[in-house]
Amino acid sequence: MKRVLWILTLALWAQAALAGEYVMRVDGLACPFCAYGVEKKLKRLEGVKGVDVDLDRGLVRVEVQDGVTLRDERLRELFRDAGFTYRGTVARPQ
Amino acid sequence: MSARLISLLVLPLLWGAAQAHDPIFAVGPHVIYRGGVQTAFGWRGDEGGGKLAADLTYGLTGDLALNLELPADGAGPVEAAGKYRFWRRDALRLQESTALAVRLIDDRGANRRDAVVGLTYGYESRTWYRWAALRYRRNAGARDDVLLMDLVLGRRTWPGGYRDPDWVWMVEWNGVRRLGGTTDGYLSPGLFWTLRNFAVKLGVQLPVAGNVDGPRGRTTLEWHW
Repeated sequence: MKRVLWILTLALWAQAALAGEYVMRVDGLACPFCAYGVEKKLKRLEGVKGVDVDLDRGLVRVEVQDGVTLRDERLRELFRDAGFTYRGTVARPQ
Repeated sequence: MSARLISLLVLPLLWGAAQAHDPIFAVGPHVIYRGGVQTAFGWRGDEGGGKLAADLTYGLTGDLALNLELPADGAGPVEAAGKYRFWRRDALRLQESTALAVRLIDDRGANRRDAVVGLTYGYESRTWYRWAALRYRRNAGARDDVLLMDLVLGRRTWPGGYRDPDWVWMVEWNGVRRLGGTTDGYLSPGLFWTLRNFAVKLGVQLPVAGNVDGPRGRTTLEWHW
């Protein structure tokens, strides 16, 4: 039951993603002070307009300019450098 | 509680060599993100007085950080440290890791160089924190070498959102075993308060065992970018 609710929540999050927004699953996010490194590194990427982190759901939301693509390999490396584990992108710009 | 002790707790800037989201008196496995820079200013001392210092940490990789501490008055020891996080387990709302920590202390005033090497483990969730550390301090000159043992429990009282203020209360047990034979023990309540990339750490170390003097205070003001 808990698992179903979790998948449902994730699906709703993905549905709610705005055009021009990526939603990523990231493990290891426990404290906001440490997660700031993720925001810092993502904002250094060209075309990234905003970053938000949902610590309880392990989600990172990245708002990008039109046409900007964030590839898995690049994201995996970025999160590793930030000290966390990238699990995948659950929503991409429509 | 004496007025001096209270002043130790409320002084706006206290000193701490600890890094990022680590305990106040013990050492934890936290490092900083690659290319990240962390600055800290603070004060540490006891009822007899204290000292100010500045601290700079740089993230060479996501798991390796270098650190330099300089005394504010230029008279105290200069300390250089490195921390390598060689194991990490990430899960939802959770991070667990172990690091090797090395510190060199160059006290030119006393004409001696000490070294500290040890292992540290940390468990961090959205609500609970646990740390443990075991370090060996090689003291120059006639002073005994020292074994430093730390156990820490922390609790995030009000888990909030990413942009909210964050409060983590902790209590440390710090043990100091001199190889000459004596052992000191301290109980150290503390607080870690953060907002975004800005942190205030505050703690007091209360002697509970051994032949030690009065309480010691430590506070750090730090931020990273």
